[in-house]
Amino acid sequence: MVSEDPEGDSASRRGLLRAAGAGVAGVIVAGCGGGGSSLKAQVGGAQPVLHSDVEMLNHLLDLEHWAIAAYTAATPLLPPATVKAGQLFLNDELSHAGDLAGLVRAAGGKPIKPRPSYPLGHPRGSGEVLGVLHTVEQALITAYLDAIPRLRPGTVKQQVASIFANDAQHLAVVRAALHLPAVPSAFVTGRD
Amino acid sequence: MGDGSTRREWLSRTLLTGAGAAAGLAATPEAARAATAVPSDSDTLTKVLEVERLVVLGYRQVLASGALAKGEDAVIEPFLAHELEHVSTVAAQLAALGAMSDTAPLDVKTGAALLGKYHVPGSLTDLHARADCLRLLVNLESVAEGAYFTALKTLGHAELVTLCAQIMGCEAQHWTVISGLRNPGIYVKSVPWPFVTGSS
Repeated sequence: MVSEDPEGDSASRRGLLRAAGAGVAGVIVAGCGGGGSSLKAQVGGAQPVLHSDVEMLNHLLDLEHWAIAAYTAATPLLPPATVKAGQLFLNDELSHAGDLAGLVRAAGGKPIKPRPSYPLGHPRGSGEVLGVLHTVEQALITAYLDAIPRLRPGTVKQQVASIFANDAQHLAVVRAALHLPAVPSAFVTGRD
Repeated sequence: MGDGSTRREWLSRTLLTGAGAAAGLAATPEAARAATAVPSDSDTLTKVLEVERLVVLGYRQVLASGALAKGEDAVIEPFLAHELEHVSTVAAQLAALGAMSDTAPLDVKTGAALLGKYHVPGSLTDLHARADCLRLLVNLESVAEGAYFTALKTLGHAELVTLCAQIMGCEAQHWTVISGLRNPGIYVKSVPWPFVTGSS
C-alpha cells in the first residue's frame, strides 16, 4: 500500500529507532515508502542464514564500522546545511551494523568488532570531508553489489539489498552536496 | 545470458515433469525454485517491467502537465531517461530468457488501472499542482523499489540479482531526490528510513 504522505512520520520513527538502540539483531523498522511493517516481516525472516555466508556478512559489517567511524568524524566538519544529513546517516549506518551483526549471529557466527581506528585521510575543508564520505559510500555500495547475488537465501539478499539501497540514497545526497549529479546513472554501481 | 538461460529454463521444466523433480535433486536454480512453487525469473521480470512502464507513464504525464516549478523539469527529465533505460534493459533480459515482453508506452486508461492495482493514490491526469506531481512520482518510485525488493527474493540468475539491485538503488535515489524537492533541506524526509523496501 502506498501512503498519501510518502515520507510519513519519519522523524518520530527515527526517534523510536534511536530509542531502541543500534546493535539489536534484526532491528525492527519500516521500509522507505513501505509503511509500518517490520523489515523482518517484509522479508519473511523464517529462513535460515547460511553459516557459509558469515565471512561475507562480516566483511560488510567491517565496512559499516568504517562508515560509522567516517560519519562520526566527519559530521561536525560538514557544511552547516548538511550536518543534519550527517547525523541521520550516522544513525542509518548504526542500524545497518546492528542488522548485519544480527545476520552474522543468526548464521552461527560472531560479529566482527570495530577496529581501533580507520584510515580516513587528512581532509582539509568541508569539500574534502564530503569527499571522504563519498569514497566510503561508494566502497559500501560496491561491496554490497558484490555480496548480494552470492548470499543465500533470497530473504537475506532482500535484507542486505534494503541496506544497499539506503546507502545509495546517502550517496545521492553526498553527491548533491559536492555539486555532482545526485543520480548519475540508471544503475547504481558505486563507480560513478 | 543468451541461449544458455533459455536452455536452462527449458531443462528445468523438463526435469520437473519427471519423477526426480524433488528439490534435493534439482540441477538448476529454476528447478529448485519451481519445486517449491517459486515464480520463474521470467515471471518475476515481467512483473517488474509492468511497474517500470507505469513509472515511465507517470514521469511523462508529470512532465507534460507543466505544473512543476521552474528548474524542476531539468531535475526530473534525466529520471525519465533512467526509467526508459530500465524498461529496455529488463525487456532485453526477458528476451534472453526466451520470454516475450511489451515495451510500448502505456495508455492512460491502462496506467490508471495499474495505479489501482498497486494502491497508488492520486491520478495520472489530475496533475494541476506541483505537489500532486511530486507526490505521484514519489509514490511510483516506492512501487518500483518494492517491485525490485520483491524480485530479489526469488530471482535465480546471479546476473539478474545484481541488475535488479542496481536498479533498485537507482529508484531509491530518485525517491530521495524527488522527496528532497518536496521537502528541501529536510533530510529526515528525503532519507526517512535506514532500510529501503518500497511498497507492494
